[in-house]
Amino acid sequence: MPDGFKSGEKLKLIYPAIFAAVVLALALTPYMPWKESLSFLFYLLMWTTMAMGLNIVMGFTGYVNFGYVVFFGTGAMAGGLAIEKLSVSPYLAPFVGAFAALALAVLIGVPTLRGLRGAYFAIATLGVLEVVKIFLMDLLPFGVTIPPTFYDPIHCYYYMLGVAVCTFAACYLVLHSRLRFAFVAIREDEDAAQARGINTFFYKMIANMLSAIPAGCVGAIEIWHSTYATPQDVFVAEKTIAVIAMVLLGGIGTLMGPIVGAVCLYGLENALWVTLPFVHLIAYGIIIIGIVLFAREGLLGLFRPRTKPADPGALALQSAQDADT
Amino acid sequence: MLRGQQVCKRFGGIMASNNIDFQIGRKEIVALIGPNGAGKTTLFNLVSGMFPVTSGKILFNDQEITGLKPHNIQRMGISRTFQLVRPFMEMTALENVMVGLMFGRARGIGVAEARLKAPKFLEMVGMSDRMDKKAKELTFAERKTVELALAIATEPSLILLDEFIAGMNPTEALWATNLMKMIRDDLGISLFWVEHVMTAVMDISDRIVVLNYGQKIAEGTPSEIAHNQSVIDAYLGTESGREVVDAAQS
Repeated sequence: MPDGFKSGEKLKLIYPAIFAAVVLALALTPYMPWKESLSFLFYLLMWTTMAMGLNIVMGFTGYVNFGYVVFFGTGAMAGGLAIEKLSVSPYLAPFVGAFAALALAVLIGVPTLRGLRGAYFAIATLGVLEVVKIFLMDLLPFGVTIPPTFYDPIHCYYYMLGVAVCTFAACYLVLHSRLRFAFVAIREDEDAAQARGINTFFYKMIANMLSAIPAGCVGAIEIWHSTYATPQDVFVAEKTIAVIAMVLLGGIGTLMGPIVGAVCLYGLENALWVTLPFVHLIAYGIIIIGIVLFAREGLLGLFRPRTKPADPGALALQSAQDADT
Repeated sequence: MLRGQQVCKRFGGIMASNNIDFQIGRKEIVALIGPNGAGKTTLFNLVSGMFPVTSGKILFNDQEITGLKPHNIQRMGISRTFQLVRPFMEMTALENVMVGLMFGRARGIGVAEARLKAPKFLEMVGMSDRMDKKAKELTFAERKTVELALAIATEPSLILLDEFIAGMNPTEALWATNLMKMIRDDLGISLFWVEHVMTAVMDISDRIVVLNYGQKIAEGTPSEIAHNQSVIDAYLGTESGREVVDAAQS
């Protein structure tokens, strides 16, 4: 899988300029003629952040987390409860949400990431999602309500923008540090990574925690924005599917892929919602199947020069050796 | 430096390693040979910590390493390559070596520093012109070589080399044996080396350990091994094999 940051030296200045322009445009939105789109952009940033977060664990280290939305839900419930029951200021709630998600990531990670790999890890995360959801449904049957005085879509929007930018920065830093090498080595060949001195459990925990934090933040901001949610509303398995589809569509394991995927899919969902309310769910399924079958590198991969496969002689030699053992 | 004492590994009813004693000194090339299924790679997996031993002890510089995690054993100075060649396919040759630099013994260095130091190791193995190719774009022999460069970059005092020359043509094999001698003599790294290509083994090994059915059946210098009856039996069989040899000699 490609690692999207290595796109050439000549673009060094263009990318930061585009990035700054986009962030500026987003930051000024509440005061601009297009301010009606504030709610759309709020949710777009939310999905983008979730996709970037999931991409850290799924794209960089290759561990698919089918229960990713559990971090979102936990963040929402923790942040909401902090506001409702403990009178914590909503401005601090996203930090509460992030912390709760982080704690849960450690709690889940220690038993699962030590021993489980690939499909087993994916299934375990799905189980965790159900357990946490049912536990909280019993605990909070009526959900969490935030006093209407705290309703403040503009501040929510800025928080969301802030979290999105921070998550992007975190992904950028990961891709430019030794973390990237450890993560990608784990994705490519975990045993070989270990044999080369990489403490795989440690780095998998880091990836898991890094991916949980933005989801927890975003969950708390979302409940602040919507002022009410029950566990059934936030622990929704389809949400994970949507995020996985976004990551795959844009280009898994890349910096920009999750953003491209989230913009395309959330844009599609939003466009279809009024006329054909459930068609986007079908679209997610078709996109996941299509990407897996025909374009593993996602949309970004389509615009990347093809890498030359290894010469057939070497492959033949390899398979002969494989047969030998 | 590396010592194994009565190392055993049982897989269900099969003794893959049965009471094996072995020893590797400094600046030594020790070949590990034996027919297919003799337990050579199993022994490597035991030394590198990928499988736990069933019984017995492995010591490295008089410190017991049995029961340690692979990454800890690696950091003590034992590196390995893989028989089925496992560089990180989506990384370039240079990035593979950088992994060795950043997570091996010298770990703690940053990406920038690793990027500066890595080319030296590729140069050492003659891969300078392949630096920016992804491992998956390289040929089989080149992948092996990248793996070796990665292993050297971790600054080990011992490399477990699992089949380096098999599959190479005579010119490449000559280059490879010279490279191995360079690693031993100039870098001072010992090699514990599984190989099927006997000419190369006889040529550069200081000592040879022979395994068959999980047991050590012989150990000695190349010339001792070449004339060892149980080794000949293991490779050629006792009855039919002897006839072939006799027929060839008469």
